[in-house]
Amino acid sequence: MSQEDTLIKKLLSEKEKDVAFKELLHLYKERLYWHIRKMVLNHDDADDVLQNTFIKVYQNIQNFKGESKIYSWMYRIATNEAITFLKAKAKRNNNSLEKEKDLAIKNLETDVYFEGDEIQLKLQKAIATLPEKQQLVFNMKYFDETTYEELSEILETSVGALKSSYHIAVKKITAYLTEN
Amino acid sequence: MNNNKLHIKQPGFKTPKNYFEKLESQIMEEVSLKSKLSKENPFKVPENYFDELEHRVLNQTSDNKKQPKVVSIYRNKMFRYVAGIAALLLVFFSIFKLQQTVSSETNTITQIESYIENGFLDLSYLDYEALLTDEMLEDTSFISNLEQEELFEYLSYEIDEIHLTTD
Repeated sequence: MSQEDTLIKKLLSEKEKDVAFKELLHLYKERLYWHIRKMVLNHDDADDVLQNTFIKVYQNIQNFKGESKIYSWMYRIATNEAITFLKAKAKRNNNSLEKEKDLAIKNLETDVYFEGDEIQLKLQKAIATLPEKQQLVFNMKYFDETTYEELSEILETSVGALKSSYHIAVKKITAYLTEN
Repeated sequence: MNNNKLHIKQPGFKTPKNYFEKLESQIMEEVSLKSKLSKENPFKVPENYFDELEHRVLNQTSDNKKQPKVVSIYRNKMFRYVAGIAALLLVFFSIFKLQQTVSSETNTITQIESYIENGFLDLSYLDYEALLTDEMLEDTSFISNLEQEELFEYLSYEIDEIHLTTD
């Protein structure tokens, strides 16, 4: 039995659930944080989404069927939580999703937890121009170097479609950076 | 030597149409992007954020479940207000319900009286007699309230009609 299988077995057992969850939290907190942070940009928002993600993982662990790897399942929860969060925030502020994203990038200029230079800020602006799915693929492939197989499991999309999505994203970003 | 074929034997594998042309442009674009940008993460987190995060998440899951904080609802100010309002509503609805019951009973009695008065109930004095119990017949206290003269007067008028038995 692999290490992951043992962890899942513990998570599904009433007796060992809490200990196993602590281990899961310790293992994946940073990876999931950076995944969420690249989507929502702001630290406080990332913190909210990350906490909600882990609480959902804890509450719904019995629904994990083991058809994919546990981190793929958690990534899917984190992605959905981040998208839901962004939509709710835009609605609360009476903005479109695009407008809300523009504001988030503008706020990066004064964010104490963003230390990027001008070109890195421009890269964030370029990523924001992409459709939601291309943003996800680009961030996970370019920064996190996630394999296409892992991406396919997380985003439930074929490897071929993901490759095409990534190359379109690279092309658009290169064009944006050249123009600006 | 033919550079296009090198020494590679083709064991039946094929590539998608224009694959190598596309591949070249894709690699060049990616290399160009990487040369412009460093992959260094520009986002930062507060100091000790990840350690604190673990505690906060665990506080919201396992710890709370094991040691739930008990707060007496009687000490809660909001509970007192809600209880007060609930008591008032209970009294209000009890009175309302009572009035409804009395009112429906009054209506029923009025309907019965009207039914009898209109002559729809045809009962003889013998039918009434059958409804009386022995105790009720033995109770003659109501007679003492009658003046003797009134009694004689009543009997003198009604004696012919009422059948009296003397054993």
